[in-house]
Amino acid sequence: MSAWPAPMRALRWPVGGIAGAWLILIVAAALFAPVLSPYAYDAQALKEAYGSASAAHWLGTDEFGRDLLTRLMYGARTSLSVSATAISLSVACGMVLGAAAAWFGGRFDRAVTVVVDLTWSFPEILIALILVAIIGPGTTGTMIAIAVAYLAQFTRLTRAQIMTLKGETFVEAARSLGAGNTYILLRHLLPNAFAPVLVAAMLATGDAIILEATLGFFGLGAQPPVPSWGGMMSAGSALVFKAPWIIIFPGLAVAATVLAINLYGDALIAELDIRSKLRGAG
Amino acid sequence: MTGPLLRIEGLTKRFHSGGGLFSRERAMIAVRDVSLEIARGEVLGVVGESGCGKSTLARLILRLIEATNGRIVFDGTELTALPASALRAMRKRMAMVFQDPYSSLDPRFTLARVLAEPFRVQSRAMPPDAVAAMLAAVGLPETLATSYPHQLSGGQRQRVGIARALALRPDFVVLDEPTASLDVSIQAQIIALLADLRDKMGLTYLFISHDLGLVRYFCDRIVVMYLGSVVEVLPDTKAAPRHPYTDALMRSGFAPDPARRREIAPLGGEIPSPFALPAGCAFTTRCAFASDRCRSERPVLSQDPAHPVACFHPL
Repeated sequence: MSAWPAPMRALRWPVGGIAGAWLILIVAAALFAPVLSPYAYDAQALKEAYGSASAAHWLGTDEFGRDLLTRLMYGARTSLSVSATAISLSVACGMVLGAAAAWFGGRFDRAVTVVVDLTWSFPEILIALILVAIIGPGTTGTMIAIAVAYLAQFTRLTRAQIMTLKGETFVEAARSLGAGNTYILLRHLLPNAFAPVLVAAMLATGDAIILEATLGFFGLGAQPPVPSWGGMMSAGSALVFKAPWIIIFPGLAVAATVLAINLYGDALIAELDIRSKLRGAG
Repeated sequence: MTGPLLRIEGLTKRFHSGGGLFSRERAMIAVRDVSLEIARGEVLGVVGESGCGKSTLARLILRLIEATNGRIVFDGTELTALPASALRAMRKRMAMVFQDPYSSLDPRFTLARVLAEPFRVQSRAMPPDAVAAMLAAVGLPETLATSYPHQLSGGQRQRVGIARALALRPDFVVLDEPTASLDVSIQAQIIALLADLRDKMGLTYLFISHDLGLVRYFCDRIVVMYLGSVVEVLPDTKAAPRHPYTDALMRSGFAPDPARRREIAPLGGEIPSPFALPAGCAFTTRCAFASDRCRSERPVLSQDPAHPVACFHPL
């Protein structure tokens, strides 16, 4: 065991390192978009519309002459913040629900399991679409929709973890010393369940980016003129032959980011040695 | 302070399984009507094959699982009647050492945290040098305090398990096969450590094992269990067995001395399923002396205080 924490050790893997570097780049671009970007995301210059890559516009311009690189960086902001917030929300609720189900058992557990299994049998996109239809389009709506779509996964994983941990001897040992339920749950069960849930959350963030882009493509995500990768691809789809870069670059950004998350996640799973534990997530 | 430290009367545990949508409910009796007394300072051994209910008995005594029937009286207090909060306070006087040293320590806890846990859950202030003292008492260097369990060997982990059990200076310790998962060379060290600690701290042990040789070496009295029932209580380690099962257990052991090596007599017959015990004595299916009475009537433990045995045809 080295002194470095597992997320750092995963960067030492060749693939994990490249993937990690891409993720750091994308996150930095999203965080510092206002400082780094050469233009404002809604600065129109109709004379320069449909421009291909040039010294002034590295990735070209869109149908309103807005700088594509700028919009891509702001799009990363929308995509990453919506996905990450949604998944954080989903993990927090899923851990509470799953832990409670495993801990209390009985009817509550059966009720949670039935609902989880039911939602599990629908594709995430369907759940998200129904929810956005109810809540209404926009970033908040997509965020909640994505959070609910992935709730079943984290509830199920946490429940499976806690169920296994409950039978461990160290839990019985704590009880034999006089530990109460709250202590055992907070000090022994949840900390041990956390690592696999965290990795599953990271991998789900990749899926959530695709889901967010899909909702954006349908026009249900961030509303114009705020850029999102899905929304940019939607606009570009009508112009594939006239200005293919408008759809290609956001598409590449989505693909590269999701791929990087998955590859880095694989390295992290190998470092944490928790592959078997993640099976509970199905 | 007279009388036994621990007295259990008619302790019974019935487990149910199935009973869901897809299976019929079945009940098995893991522990049947067990009554015992343990005197202060005594080491009482419990032996039996795996599945005979000895570990269940240990957990029942400490109320880690709840008994279906029966009473447990610890130093004049009836444990079976205690509410949860009083029971938790009572736990500082009783402790348990577990069989598997690999899963009995939380992998995310350093040894210092493992050893602080008894104080923490009992809301007791821990003396500043307590961790070092506890490690020293079980023969571990103080430098291990910041280590995690995975950095330790099985024997070292079991020493930590013992130190944790003794942290609050209990009166009574249940040892649930504390050496069964260890190498033979380490087993002897652990047994020597347990004997030493008993002398120093005036402990009373309930020692559970499937190794009759080890139990005969370490214990004062020996309870023999078969399929949930006590079949015999050997009053001392040299007592000749009176129950055919105890006799068979003793004769199926290996003698390390080649000069004394003899024919071992493996037990024949099948162990009955605990879900469907025979009406009479549970041992009839494997016993050479079984008569019709044994098959129809269940023998109870004789009230002979010198050497109780549950058999119609004792040896």
